[in-house]
Amino acid sequence: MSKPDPVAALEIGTSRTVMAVGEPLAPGRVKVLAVEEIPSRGVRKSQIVDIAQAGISVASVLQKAEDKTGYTIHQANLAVSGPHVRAKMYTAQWQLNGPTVTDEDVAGVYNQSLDAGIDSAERMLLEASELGYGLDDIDDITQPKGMTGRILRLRTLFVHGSAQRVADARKAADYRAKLAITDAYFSASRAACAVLSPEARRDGAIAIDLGGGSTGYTVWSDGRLVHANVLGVGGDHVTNDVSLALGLTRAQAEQAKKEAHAVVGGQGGSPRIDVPSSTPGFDTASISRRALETVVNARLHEIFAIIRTELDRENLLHRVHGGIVLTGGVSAQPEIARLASSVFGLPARVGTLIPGIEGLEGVEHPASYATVAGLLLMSQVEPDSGSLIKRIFGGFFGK
Amino acid sequence: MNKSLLLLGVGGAGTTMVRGVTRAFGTPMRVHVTDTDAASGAEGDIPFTLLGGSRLAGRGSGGQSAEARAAFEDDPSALDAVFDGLRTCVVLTALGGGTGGGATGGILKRLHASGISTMLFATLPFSFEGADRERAARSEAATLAREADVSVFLPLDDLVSGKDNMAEALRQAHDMVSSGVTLLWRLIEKPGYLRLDPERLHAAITGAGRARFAAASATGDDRVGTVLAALAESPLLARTKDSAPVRTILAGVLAGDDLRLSEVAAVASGLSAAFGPEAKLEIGTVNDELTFSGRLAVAVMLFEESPALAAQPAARAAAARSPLAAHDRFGKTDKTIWEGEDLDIPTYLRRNLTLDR
Repeated sequence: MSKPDPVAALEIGTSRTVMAVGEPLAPGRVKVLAVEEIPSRGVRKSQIVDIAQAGISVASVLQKAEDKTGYTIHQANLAVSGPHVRAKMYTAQWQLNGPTVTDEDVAGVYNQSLDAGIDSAERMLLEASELGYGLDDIDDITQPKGMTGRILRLRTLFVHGSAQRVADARKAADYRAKLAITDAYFSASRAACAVLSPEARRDGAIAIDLGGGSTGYTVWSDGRLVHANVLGVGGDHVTNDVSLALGLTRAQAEQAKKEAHAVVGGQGGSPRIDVPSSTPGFDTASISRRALETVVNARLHEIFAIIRTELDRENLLHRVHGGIVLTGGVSAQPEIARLASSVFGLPARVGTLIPGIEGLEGVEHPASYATVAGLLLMSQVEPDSGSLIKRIFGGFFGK
Repeated sequence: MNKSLLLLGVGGAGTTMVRGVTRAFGTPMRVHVTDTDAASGAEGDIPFTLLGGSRLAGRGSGGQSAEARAAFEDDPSALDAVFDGLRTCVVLTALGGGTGGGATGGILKRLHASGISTMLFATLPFSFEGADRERAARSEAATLAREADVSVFLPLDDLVSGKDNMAEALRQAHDMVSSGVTLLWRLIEKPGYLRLDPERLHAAITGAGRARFAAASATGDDRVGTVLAALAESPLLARTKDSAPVRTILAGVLAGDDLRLSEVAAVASGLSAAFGPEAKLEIGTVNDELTFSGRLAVAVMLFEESPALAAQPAARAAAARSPLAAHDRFGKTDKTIWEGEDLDIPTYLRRNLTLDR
């Protein structure tokens, strides 16, 4: 029996460009053969502002991945994030053709939902999550076929992004690497699927993907994606704040922030931190740990507080019984889970990859690679199952 | 006409003041007025938006700021088309109840959410109008100061004195505000030796906080001395118990072809000496022989420093670089605005946090 073709995932982030190559094992299982990254160029707030620069980053990271695995990679799935990503809840209604629900009725309400999910050529569907059927005055029906009634409803959460932004990412992938993008998915929900077990998604969880340019978050309940959003603030803002507050270069600020506890006065560390200059011949800067942590804490606390406020408004916090899981590069900040827990009043942890993702056991801070790992899982869905259908979480991710 | 800059009048008094500016300015400028009272839009050719038509039927708020607030909130996007393409909006209004006090906050929030910097000029009622109106105005002012990038509150008592006739006093006060704002507009839109263009204004006012504003003009050999003396004595520029030290002095010198560089230098040094030797001075000039022949006018805006920042030299230095420095990093992308706050500006600066160095 021949080995399956490798699958690949690409994330063009604000801080780094990451490529993962994997080997499908079975539905819901993948072996990661390589995960490579290099610092990004030409990206701000998760948006490409220089296609050529971003394209060079893609070519470099692709080369590294190919060298590591020995495979030639022609195509990959793309992770999409940034403040242009939005979620929209829509309930489609369908008048039954007869007294009971038939396959045609189910297909009819489904197609109507898809038609309405993306009603603009400028938007592109990234994900969709079926939240349940309704029939006349009955809600939360899981399988309506054969039931008697008049009006069939389907409630769906659509996550969509700017078609132009996705097109820019495709151009960057093609620019030098000639890498074709198979499909595009919402990075925060892919990261969530890499760190939340089906049980955790059933119990209710908030997954926060703290990226360099933006912070995406998803809420899961009863095994379904019930809310998603992106805040255009991320680790790049933390670096910028540290640089401005303490008079450091960006390179120094990037280095200094790794030393900071997310909670001011956290455990360990000397009161002053020496930050060598990135330019030879210039003095090492000595900065106050407390000042550094005040700046870092202010920004991270604000990010969590904004998300909490948004979820309060959506009346979703009561559906979360499993707590908060953090992913993304910023989740490596010391004591960040403690900060998240204090803001939300819920248990919080930094994500660990689900058992179905193999091959990253020895990697430092695997939560940084949750997005590409989750994308590799998605790559196992057969293309002919339909590019829209494969995003519905009723499949092997759902239950 | 600069299309990135709008003068917006809110309420009856705001409409009156905007009309005064357009009359004095003489050439086309981007203006708009809005009110709950349809009468404000009935005369003149200034574009008008009625607020809360379905709620108040164009009869006005009856001096009730809650009614005006609800009228705006009925359709918060009512003015969105007016704001299209703007970078900076100057808002004129009157506080103490009514449309100005009720709707201006929502309008400023909407502008801020669109990334448009805002400069608010609001009059405060005469003291003889009663304690209730004064309390209402103070409360409204406190709210609006948080919503606007720059807020200038002009007590009517300080604008006019010695008038028995209230209508005449109000007219004179509104005329004074109008002429001050007209000077500001000339400074931005008319070419001079030192130009204060809209981008420079935008950068100067973004997140600047509270400000004081006054203008004076004079003719004759010692016109500079006369103007400086008038400004130094102006109650509008005087420090109060709530005032903070002056961080930036924004000044415009407007004159005809006879403006001498020595006069500009004398105005600059005189303003620095009077209002803040350590304050940063931004000065612009307008040469308009037709309007200012033989006359010299100076418009001054004093930007105050927030007390929390004043206590922190390092934060002050950072604030001097921000928000422009903060936006350098994110300049090619859309601003991240959440509930009126520009999240690209460092959190510690927006929260005025003390850094223990």
